[in-house]
Amino acid sequence: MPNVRALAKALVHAVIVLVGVLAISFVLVRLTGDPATLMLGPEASPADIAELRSELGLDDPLPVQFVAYLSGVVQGDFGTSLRYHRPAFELVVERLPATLELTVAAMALALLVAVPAGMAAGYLRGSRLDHVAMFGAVVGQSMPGFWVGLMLILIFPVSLGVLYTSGRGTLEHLILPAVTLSLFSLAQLTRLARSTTLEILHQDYIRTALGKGLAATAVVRRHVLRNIMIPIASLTGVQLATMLGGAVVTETVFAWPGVGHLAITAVAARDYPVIQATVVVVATGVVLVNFVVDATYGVIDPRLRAR
Amino acid sequence: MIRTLAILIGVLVVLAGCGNAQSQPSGGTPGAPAATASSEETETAAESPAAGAGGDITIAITSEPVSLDNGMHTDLMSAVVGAAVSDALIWTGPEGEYRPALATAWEVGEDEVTWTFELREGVTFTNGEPFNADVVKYTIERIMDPANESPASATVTSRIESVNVVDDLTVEIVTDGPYPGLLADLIWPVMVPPAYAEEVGVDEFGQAPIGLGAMKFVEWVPGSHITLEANEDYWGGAPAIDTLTYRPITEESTGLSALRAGEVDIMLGLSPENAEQLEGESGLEVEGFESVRQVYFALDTLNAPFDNVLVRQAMNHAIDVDALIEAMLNGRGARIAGAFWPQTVGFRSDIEPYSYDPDRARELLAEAGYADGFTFPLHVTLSGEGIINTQGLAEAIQGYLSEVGIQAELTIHENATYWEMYNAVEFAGGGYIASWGAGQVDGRHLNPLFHSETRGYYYQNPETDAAIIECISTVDQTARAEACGELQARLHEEAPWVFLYAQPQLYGMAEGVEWEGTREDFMIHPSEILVTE
Repeated sequence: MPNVRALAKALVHAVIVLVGVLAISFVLVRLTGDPATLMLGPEASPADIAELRSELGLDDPLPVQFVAYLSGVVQGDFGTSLRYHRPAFELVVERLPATLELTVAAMALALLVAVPAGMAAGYLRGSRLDHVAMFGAVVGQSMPGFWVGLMLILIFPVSLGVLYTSGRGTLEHLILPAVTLSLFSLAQLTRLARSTTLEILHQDYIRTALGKGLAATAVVRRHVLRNIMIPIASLTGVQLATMLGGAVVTETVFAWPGVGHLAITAVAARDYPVIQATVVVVATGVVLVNFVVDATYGVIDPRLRAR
Repeated sequence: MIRTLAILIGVLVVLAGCGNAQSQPSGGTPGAPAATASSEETETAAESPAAGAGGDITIAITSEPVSLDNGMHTDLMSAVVGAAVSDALIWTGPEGEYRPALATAWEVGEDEVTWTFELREGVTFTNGEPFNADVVKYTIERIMDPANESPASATVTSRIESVNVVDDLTVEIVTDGPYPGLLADLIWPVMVPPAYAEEVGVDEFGQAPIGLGAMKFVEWVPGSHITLEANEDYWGGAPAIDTLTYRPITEESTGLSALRAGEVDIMLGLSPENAEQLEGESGLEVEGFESVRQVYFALDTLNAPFDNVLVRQAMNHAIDVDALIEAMLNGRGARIAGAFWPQTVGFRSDIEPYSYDPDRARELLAEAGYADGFTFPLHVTLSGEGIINTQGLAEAIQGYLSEVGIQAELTIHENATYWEMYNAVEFAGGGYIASWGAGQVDGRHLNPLFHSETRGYYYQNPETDAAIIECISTVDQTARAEACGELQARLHEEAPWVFLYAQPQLYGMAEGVEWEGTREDFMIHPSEILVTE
């Protein structure tokens, strides 16, 4: 039964986080300006603006607005987009698959490259491969995403005539945005894989294993790989959250029809309901990922299960 | 038609970039790449279903449309797509003149408020519903209906009192007073099939419209693309192209790359800076039309120091607008005198813009009692106003003014804050840089910009008010042109603004695609897009 209690605790925790996120985004969005003025534009008379403000409920005190909003959210009603005149939640949800596709692809790519590369670099410390991998990691970590995206677009579709500059559709469309989005996490994960590998290789039990004649490959597979999975899993959770944020930039650069692209347009148009719906959906995603990561520790690490 | 089709088959795949990432060979001599490409690609083109292959055109638009129901929004990019699916009563031609579309003829009665429109016969919607006077009545009343909460009702139908069916193909539109701008307003609302519109309701209609335009709606994948296909039964003749796909690409550099890679054929929203670059590249062309967005530097004429007309005129003389056009727009803008576009009714080309004359400016300032100059706040916002390089512009203005002893204190605001301050008259005693774009440059825009009763926060003048009313409500065309010309002269003299320039609307195009977008209503009529070579 302790698991059920832990689960309930985690759930309560998640709800508190989400309400907090909601409250903060609600206030922040409202601090930055009046959507009625922006929606109606310079041609509008003060009377028009006042009318729209009361129509949108912007005249009520903030706490009243927030309570009204919260009670809507509980019923799955995130309000109507000011720009599209459609339910905000629906707008976000219909773009979610594109963002998930991009994020999952980018994370898969990051893991598939970073774990072997980091392990190899750690195992062969000081070798040329190690230097190349670490140089790559530094570069990957320090290049801004939008710049990488623009460069990739210039190199591949524009100069070489392969892959696509923008849009979503085939696997070929996915490659450049996924590479762009993965770079930062790829670099982080590579460094972590390398340092953890180094650390493990210095443990007594590794020396024992090697001493008793176990082949190096078996040592790596049985001991190193297993042990680096725990830090990698927790960093993956953190990085997924970072990626959801990075997706805003990547999606804009590649005209990828995801939630991030929607969020940018919504911010520019002061489309409160859509901004908030996006924040809630993304925050829920991050909370869920952390949940899953916590749960997988038990699977990866038998010691935790035994406890 | 047949000839166009035959030629198309050869060239199209490359030029129209219909999905395979064929890039234009770069660095070749102009003309040559297209020729090679066409022979290489003939096979590919032949493999595709050739029947009626008139070309697939992809257009990069600068933002996601909000709805394709032009009666229910006031968003430009949405209107571009909506107007391909259905037609309005009237179109504007390349010179800004009114051309018959679904209305074949119109006249205004002696009462100056009753307009009679003769409608085109034998036109049907793509779902079979007939087009007639009832449709016009339904379409316009649907916008006016408060239950539909259409933002377009505040602009497009605000002056319409009633729509009456005279007979099947004659409709009467009554305005609330003499209002020649009605024709300009009628360019916007495209016809809606009543039965279908009632069946699906306003929201769904905007997502999947049915019309009687040159193209038929196929699909809208949010954030990704909107696809239309040719309406073979179009009253104006089937369009030369097969499909038209609009892709919202908000990032200009991405749009440019997509154009270079051959993924899109036409890219809207090209900045002058990039136009310069694109112009030299083979296989690509830059086209554009001028005068759709006017940039101005307004002054608070109700408080010192700008309550003195001499000071305002001095400001106009102090700034070298031609140099600004060169620096901000690579010379691609048009100077504005008296807030009138060249296409505005009654535009007078004999009104010369203020000359750049710092000495004259100093004289005027001295005459006004500001020989030692003064300091004032200059408010700008960097986003959302559609002004190219606002900050550069503001700083250049600051520089010019300091030459004549005027210190502008530049204050930069976030867009929403800027308009809040504007509305709260917090720009008092200062100036602000803003822009104004109009779908139809009929003169109607002068009302909200200069009339005391609509937005008299920073400028009020009963005589100007009278001149505006004269300009926007004189029905007789000659008398109207004269009245509007008077207004232009008046505004020029009064100088409530430092008149700057009209920004160009530029677009990039793949060579071999032909579209004359030289119109200020911005509508892309699919029947005007051709693929040639």
